[in-house]
Amino acid sequence: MIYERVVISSDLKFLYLTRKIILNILRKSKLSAENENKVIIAIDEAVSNVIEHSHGFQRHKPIDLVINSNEKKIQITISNKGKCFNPRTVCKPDIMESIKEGKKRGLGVFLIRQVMDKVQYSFKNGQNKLILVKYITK
Amino acid sequence: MADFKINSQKLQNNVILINVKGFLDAYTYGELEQAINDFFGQHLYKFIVDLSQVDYISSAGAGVFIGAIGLSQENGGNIVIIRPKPNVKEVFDLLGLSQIFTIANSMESALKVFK
Repeated sequence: MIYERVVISSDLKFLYLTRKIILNILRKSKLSAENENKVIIAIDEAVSNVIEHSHGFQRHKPIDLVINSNEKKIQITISNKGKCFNPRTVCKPDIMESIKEGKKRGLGVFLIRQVMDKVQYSFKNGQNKLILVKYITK
Repeated sequence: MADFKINSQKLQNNVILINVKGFLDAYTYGELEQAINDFFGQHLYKFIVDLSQVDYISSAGAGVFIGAIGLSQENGGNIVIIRPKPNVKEVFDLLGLSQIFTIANSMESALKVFK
């Protein structure tokens, strides 16, 4: 069983450090190395989205990460108070269209959905809550 | 803070080799994007990007290549990726970019794309 809480500031320069801290936590779980990378990708993308779209790069705004794990799954809850950013409203990107238009962003949510088994979002009392789940396969 | 470095050099036939070291995420991608745009400004459109020393790439990092390959190909160039680590290659696969970009295992095979 793992229960860890990490609070980070909304600064893109701390993404590297966040990934490092999260990896150290994931190493205590039963997640395979391949899935560790997937979970890291999802958290990095989710946190980047919060910093950019919900907090508008306001560094003083905190982002709360709670990592829970048992034998069967690992669950990451990312919470922040800021603008509503609902990943469900983000369409699946058309890569060929993006290339044609030189559009280079908007792939994060797609990537999160690709790598995680469950993605749940809610917005209540001014708080965004994103729950990411990865099942531990043997 | 981990090192992030970009080095570039002009090879034969106006091919630009870009070596990236560190991680390509939402914090660092702008530097690579700027470097590529600077070459576009000099009418250079052929790139070999060595990702062998890149430990992590996010969608923002991969987005640099998505944003640049169109203009590159329109001008007779291309972007060839070489030697990505498995976790970096995985992101290319997940985004469907492995079918769009040439991913080579060596400089020799990357250079052949521009012959």
